[in-house]
Amino acid sequence: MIMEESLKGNILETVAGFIRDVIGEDYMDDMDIVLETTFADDLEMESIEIVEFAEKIRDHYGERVDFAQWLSAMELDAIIHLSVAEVVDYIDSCLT
Amino acid sequence: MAVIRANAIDIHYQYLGSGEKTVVFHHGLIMDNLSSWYFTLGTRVSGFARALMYDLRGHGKTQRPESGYTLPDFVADLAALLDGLGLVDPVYLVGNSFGGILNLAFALAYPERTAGIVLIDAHIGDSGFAADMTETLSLEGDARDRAIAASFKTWLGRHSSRKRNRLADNAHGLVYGTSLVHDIRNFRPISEHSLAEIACPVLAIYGEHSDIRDKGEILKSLLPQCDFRVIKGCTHSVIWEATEELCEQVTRWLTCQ
Repeated sequence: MIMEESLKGNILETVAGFIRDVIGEDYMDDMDIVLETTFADDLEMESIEIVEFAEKIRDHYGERVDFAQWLSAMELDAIIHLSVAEVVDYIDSCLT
Repeated sequence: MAVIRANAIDIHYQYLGSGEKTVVFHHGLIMDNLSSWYFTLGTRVSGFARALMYDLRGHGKTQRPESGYTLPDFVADLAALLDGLGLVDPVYLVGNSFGGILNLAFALAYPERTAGIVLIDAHIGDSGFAADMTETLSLEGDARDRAIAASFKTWLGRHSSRKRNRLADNAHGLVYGTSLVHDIRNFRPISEHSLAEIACPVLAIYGEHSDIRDKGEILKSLLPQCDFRVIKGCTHSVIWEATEELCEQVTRWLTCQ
């Protein structure tokens, strides 16, 4: 259980770092990236930025995590309301 | 971020999947970029082919030079991109809206490098295109911004309410900071005589209620090999209004080639 939480914590840290890289610190407005943070509503990420984020995920985790394929199966509304927690859970499920 | 220097600009591109076939995707003009494909048709195609998506010059993460937005410039970009990536075999081209004109122009300039074309509610580069675009882009200030936003719907961009909308900022820079408007105003139409020379297989999908559906009908009359289809209930934004059906039809057509 502790290991599981630790893995998710590491994933969150990694994901948050990628988000900061993509958006740029100037646009972050001191916003904390937590599990409840949403990509479109909170971070207001554009679709091209999500592509850049997906590329970072692929480069970091390799083929074990097919983020683009996972997103392509979603309805538009689901992507709009996608949260950091959902991404962390998905990556965690691919790695464990 | 995958960037390659081609035709004297830095082009942002993305590869998905692998396979013998290469399918290149062209997005629409101004309020669009490769992400329109990345999470939709690009991913689907990557299941059986190599999908190559890139941001057109001035769009997305590709460099935005001040000038060079004529159709031959866009064609030269693609040729240089394919050369730079070592893609020597003929490729399939998928284009939405303005991207369709680029497909047709490339097929005419490089027939030996074009295996087939998919057009999605595409303009065909006739004189009507230049007139329509010039009308929209000739507006000033807010009126122009509203017309552009209405004409070039995008995916998440439509839903973002933030003041600092970077997509809109980029579009603004493209319209006001480059020769794009001038170059489109002076667009040299592709004649029907030229279009009739295209010999590769063509799939043309249009929305039933699209204001440019007649372009598909013109192509069908000019090209006997053109597979012209209409998706019911859709407008020009077929790619968003019937994403699933579109993906199915295009992937089935491509796998049969």
